[in-house]
Amino acid sequence: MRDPFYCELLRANEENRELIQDFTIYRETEYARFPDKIIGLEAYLKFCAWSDDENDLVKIYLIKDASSHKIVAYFGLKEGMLAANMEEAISLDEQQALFQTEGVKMFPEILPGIEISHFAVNDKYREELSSGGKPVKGLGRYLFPKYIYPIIIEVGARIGVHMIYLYAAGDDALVSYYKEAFNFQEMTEDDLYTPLEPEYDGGCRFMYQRFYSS
Amino acid sequence: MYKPRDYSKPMMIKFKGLEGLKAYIRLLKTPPVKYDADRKAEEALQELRKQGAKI
Repeated sequence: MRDPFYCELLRANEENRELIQDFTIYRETEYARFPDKIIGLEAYLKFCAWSDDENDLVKIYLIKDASSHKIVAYFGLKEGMLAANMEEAISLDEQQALFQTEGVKMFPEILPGIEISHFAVNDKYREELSSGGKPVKGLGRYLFPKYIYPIIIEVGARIGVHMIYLYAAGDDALVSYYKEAFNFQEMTEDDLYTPLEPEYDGGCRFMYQRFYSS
Repeated sequence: MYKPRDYSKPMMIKFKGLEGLKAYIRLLKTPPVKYDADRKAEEALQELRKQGAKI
């Protein structure tokens, strides 16, 4: 059976400049009117995604309806890493004791990864997809394994990637969703890490997944 | 009230102290997980159709 959707790079098609203006996340619509103050996922796509992609800061993909070519969702991927450098000094003795306890024989100070920096479904499309009833739920459960995961697997087979990770937008339901639907794990203890610039993180929570790259 | 993150700025985390190092080691030692993407996609598609999605 023909796939109902297809995926293309944001800048593969000049018409996408117009199409993205119709992308809507209802709970963000109010903020999207003031993109200079809060750049949620809707405003990001409309006001920042094109130039960020152009400057190689992120690669933005659109998922479109195969018949109507309307935007179903979008996602962004970027190369990333986590470094072991600590905010507070730890003595060498403490480190060695910990390595021994934890059975760590080889300690890489950087873990390379792929960040899923953006992932959002178009609320208007969810409404259109339903047969006059409630907007459909669970589109992301289809789109992630179908379009995002294969890119990660492909990249992971060619370059070193220890994990994929994301920053879930501070919402218990969303964190549970990523755990249950996509096998992500949460680093639950809040005091184990700090975001680099917490004033704009909206309470995001770090989540990660180790995957089989080949 | 919902407040979205500012997605125009990058995120990164720093690990704190000895507990942070433990968390980093946990990341290092986490084994890969099996994720059957084809099966997950097929299940999700069926679920969408059950809801009446026109696909």
